[in-house]
Amino acid sequence: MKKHPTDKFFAEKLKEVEIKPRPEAWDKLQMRMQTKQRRVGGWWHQGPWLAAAGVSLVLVAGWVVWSLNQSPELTVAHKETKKSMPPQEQTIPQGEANKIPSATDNDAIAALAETPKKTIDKGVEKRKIKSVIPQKDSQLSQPRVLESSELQSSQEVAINENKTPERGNANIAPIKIEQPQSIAQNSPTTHQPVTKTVVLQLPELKESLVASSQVESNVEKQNSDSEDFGDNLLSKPRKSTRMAKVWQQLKNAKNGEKVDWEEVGFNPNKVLAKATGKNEN
Amino acid sequence: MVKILQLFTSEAQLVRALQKGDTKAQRHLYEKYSARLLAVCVRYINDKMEAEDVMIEGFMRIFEKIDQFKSEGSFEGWMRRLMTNEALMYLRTKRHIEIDIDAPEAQQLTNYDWADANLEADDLMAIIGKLPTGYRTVFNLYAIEGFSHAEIAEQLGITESTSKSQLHRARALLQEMVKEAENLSRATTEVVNRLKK
Repeated sequence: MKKHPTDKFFAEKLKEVEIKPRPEAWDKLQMRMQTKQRRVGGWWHQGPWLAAAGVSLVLVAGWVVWSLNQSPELTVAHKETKKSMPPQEQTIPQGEANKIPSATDNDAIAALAETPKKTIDKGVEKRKIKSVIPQKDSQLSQPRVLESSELQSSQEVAINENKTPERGNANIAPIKIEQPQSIAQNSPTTHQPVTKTVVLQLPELKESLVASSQVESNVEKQNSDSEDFGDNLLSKPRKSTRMAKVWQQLKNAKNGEKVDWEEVGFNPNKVLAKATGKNEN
Repeated sequence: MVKILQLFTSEAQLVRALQKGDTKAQRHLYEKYSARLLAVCVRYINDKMEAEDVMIEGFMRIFEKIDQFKSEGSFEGWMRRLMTNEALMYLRTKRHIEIDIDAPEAQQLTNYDWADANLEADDLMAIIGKLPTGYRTVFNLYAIEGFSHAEIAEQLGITESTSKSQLHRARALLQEMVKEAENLSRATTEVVNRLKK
């Protein structure tokens, strides 16, 4: 095809035209090439990191979406599990934790509630509740199971104690056995005195203990302060040994034998004298 | 410089060295073709500074795509095409190519004897620079680079008829401007001759 004369003229004249660039153009070109290589290298090196970041982002986003989708089902499932639990376990708020023993009562606990040792039992219950509440926060079902097992064991022990001829009162027996268990759960330091009492299983002492506890229970009925005394009596058996000594001296006095008032620790005559003096004053 | 030129005696050798990323070969290529390729850029972009910037980008493109060059055609032609594409890309992004439909209508082409035209290349470059961007681009692509109207239409996103009309108007304007330049040149020469006498 024949070329137009205008096109031919310009093409011939301009084909070999040269315009020299400035000298700094080459430096500019080199600088741009270096930056581009760095950028390309940077991307090449950052690619795996970016991919890893992207994958992790996708995973996190997926987990968030999954958890959002799953959360209603979980709550439903949680409710279902709560419903499947026995009603006594279902309605146990943290604030009403002191109802746990009464709600989960069996015959042994009911018997305990009716005994004159009710005040001592309350102390035991309080300790049990204190040990149960923190477990309840972490796991709802576990403490209940433990408590039921404890109760079962206490029942078994109570039955065994009932079979023994030494214990006349069946209601007292589970108290005495259950107490060391609860103390052992709470504080191991108070466990050692209990073993001491076991060592002192003399017939006289047993009688004295039972008698003292009976006396205490009578006093506790009248005075609410005796609760502390009962706790002290049980938790501090050294005093009970002293009481045994006192009881021994009283027996000596009753039998007309010599009474060692130093063994007792006080002289009733002096106390009586002081009391009468105060009344007179 | 002389040493660099001596290193690459043949074009094939230069291309091989460029394909290996040899910086000396790159420098040699730049020294050999930068002026011609800058002229290509200036023909499309009527600003030397901007054209120089486009030329630098074009050289970077050449170095990047040197592996794509098959030693079948002209190496210089391949580079010119890359440089033209770079200039067109610049025009597309920075300055929208004006398809000057409403531009001042050029007079009808008359029979002009181009053999009588005694203008230098610099004068012709200045004349082309005065054309509207659309006219100039189509004229450069068709008349100097040798593209067809179909290719130009595809490159610029216009119809073939628009490309043809743009070319026709560009030719008419160039003819007028060359005539004016010729007249001015003759007048100037006469004045100079009179002053000499």
